[in-house]
Amino acid sequence: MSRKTYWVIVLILIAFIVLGLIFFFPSQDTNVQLQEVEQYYRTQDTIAVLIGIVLGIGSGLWSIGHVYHKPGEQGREYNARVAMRGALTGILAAIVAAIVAAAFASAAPFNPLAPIESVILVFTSGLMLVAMAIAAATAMMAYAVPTRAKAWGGQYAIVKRL
Amino acid sequence: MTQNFVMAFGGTGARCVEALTYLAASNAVQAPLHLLIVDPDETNGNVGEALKQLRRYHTIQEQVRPSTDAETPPFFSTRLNTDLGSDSYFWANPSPNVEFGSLINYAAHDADARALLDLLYDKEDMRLTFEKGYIGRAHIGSLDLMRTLRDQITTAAADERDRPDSMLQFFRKLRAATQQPGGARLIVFGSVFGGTGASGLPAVPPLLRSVLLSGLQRDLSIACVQVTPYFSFPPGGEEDPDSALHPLATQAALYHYSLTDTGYDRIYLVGAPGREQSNRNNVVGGDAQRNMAHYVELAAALAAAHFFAAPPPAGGAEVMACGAEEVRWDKLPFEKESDLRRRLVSFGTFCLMHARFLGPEMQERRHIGSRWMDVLTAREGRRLGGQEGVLRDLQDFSERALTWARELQRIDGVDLFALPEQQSEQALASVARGGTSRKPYHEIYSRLTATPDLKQQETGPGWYIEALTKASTQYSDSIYQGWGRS
Repeated sequence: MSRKTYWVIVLILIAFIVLGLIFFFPSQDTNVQLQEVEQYYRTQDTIAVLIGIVLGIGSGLWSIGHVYHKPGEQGREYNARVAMRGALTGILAAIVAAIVAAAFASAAPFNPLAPIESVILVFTSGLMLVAMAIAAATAMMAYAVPTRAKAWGGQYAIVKRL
Repeated sequence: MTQNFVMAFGGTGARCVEALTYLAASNAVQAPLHLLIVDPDETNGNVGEALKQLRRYHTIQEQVRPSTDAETPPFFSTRLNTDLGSDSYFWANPSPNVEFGSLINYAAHDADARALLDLLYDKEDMRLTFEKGYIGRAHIGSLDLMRTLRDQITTAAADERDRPDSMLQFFRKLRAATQQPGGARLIVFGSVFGGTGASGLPAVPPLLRSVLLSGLQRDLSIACVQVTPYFSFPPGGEEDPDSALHPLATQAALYHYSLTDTGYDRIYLVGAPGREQSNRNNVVGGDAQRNMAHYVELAAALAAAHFFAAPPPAGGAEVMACGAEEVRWDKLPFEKESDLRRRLVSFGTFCLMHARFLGPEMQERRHIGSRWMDVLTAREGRRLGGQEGVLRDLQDFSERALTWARELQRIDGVDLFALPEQQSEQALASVARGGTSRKPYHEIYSRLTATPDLKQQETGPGWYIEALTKASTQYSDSIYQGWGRS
């Protein structure tokens, strides 16, 4: 994965987040207050940001010690491997954000729904995809920070100039 | 500033110069040197190998600017034969096919002189030509070399404008240096058991003093490295050289030197207790006469480093020798002062990284797009396509240097380099014993990548050499613990 592709993916995710926040609405259930569901998504968005930052920086620091230059490898091939780790980190962050969201919904279900019904309720809205996209985009941006800031072989793999 | 000169006679002298070239390349010797190899046998394999390395060095050094970083100057920044061409390292015999009798004008001498010559030389000697050198016949070589050197030194002293000749240039530079503040230091390499070296060693001091510096104020220290037998080769035909006679020739020569004023201010006596077989065949001169490298040559080169760093006090002559029961880094003479282990091992790592990995990668243009190439090309005019002639020279120089290091380690009891035959990247951590590294290629490459702009380097190859010098040295410092940096 090239540096350009990496940032195009991040931009697409950001565009999806912006458009999603405008056009997606919370799922509605006749027995559940809408404000409660809206508050749930706001909380999940904040948690997604935190998940993205933690996973992104952690994965970036881990990559510095574990992604090695190999003999015969071209500079851009190495950069591609570094970038691919960042993209995978984004996917991981999205999955973790979804699991945490499900856990939150089942641990504190909307009154009077059962835990499983609460989970189904929140996952039937596009806003859940927005929360996952927030986690992925944040993780990918956070991943780029340590790989650029540290004096390391791949320091310009994702961020070329500051 | 004092100027340093090195004159090497014969195949052994050339091999010592090759070792000295590695000391210069690795910065173990940093003072500029003026080198000249003298051998009538132009095709000699030992001489040819040393000359090839010197000519490659010459091409490489033109690309490298000396660094302001005194701690880690770039490899190849020690200047050799500054301002002269790559032909200045060797003096070729201008008349190798002329018979010895003609060279000494046998027929033109009077009857008494001819009778004396008949006493000293038989008819076969008189018919001898020197396409393959003096072939161990020091009694012929000494007269021919004395004659040649006297002609050259006389011409140099006369300061006439004539054909550019490497030996003439050498003596003119030496003469000029002796008249400048700081003066000059000259060290002469040669074997005391062979043909050319044994012939050249005694000839130099008297000719320099009586002819070159006649009537001038002398500011010249002269030393020599007398190399005693340290190798053998299989017996050949009746007329072929016999290495079994080397100890006898050495005994006679040293006995002579012990009774005579050699004219040297300092003599380094270098030898080895054993005589390893250095060639599978008995080869009389020519390209096939390629001996394997030996630690004696490294010790001889270190003697030169010592002489330039600590010249003898004025007045009186001294003889220096040292010994050890094992050949290890810490037992080598002048090792600490020249930071030898650190420099040569780092240089070995540099050579391995370039010759085995980066050089071939650059030929395939696989370096394009890497971070260090971005830094290299940040300055206008700096380019590194990967196919430049100087990179090929660096590749060949590095491969030969690694072969030299491997040849040293084949000798029993020698614990200097530990280069494995394997082609994997782990070899980078095994240039010497004691290195531990999980991902050696990455560790060097990432240091290369993190190199900042080296503004003083004006060319791409110059930048690359300095950056790889820093990366290899920092890496070696990190993996070889406790190697007692001085």
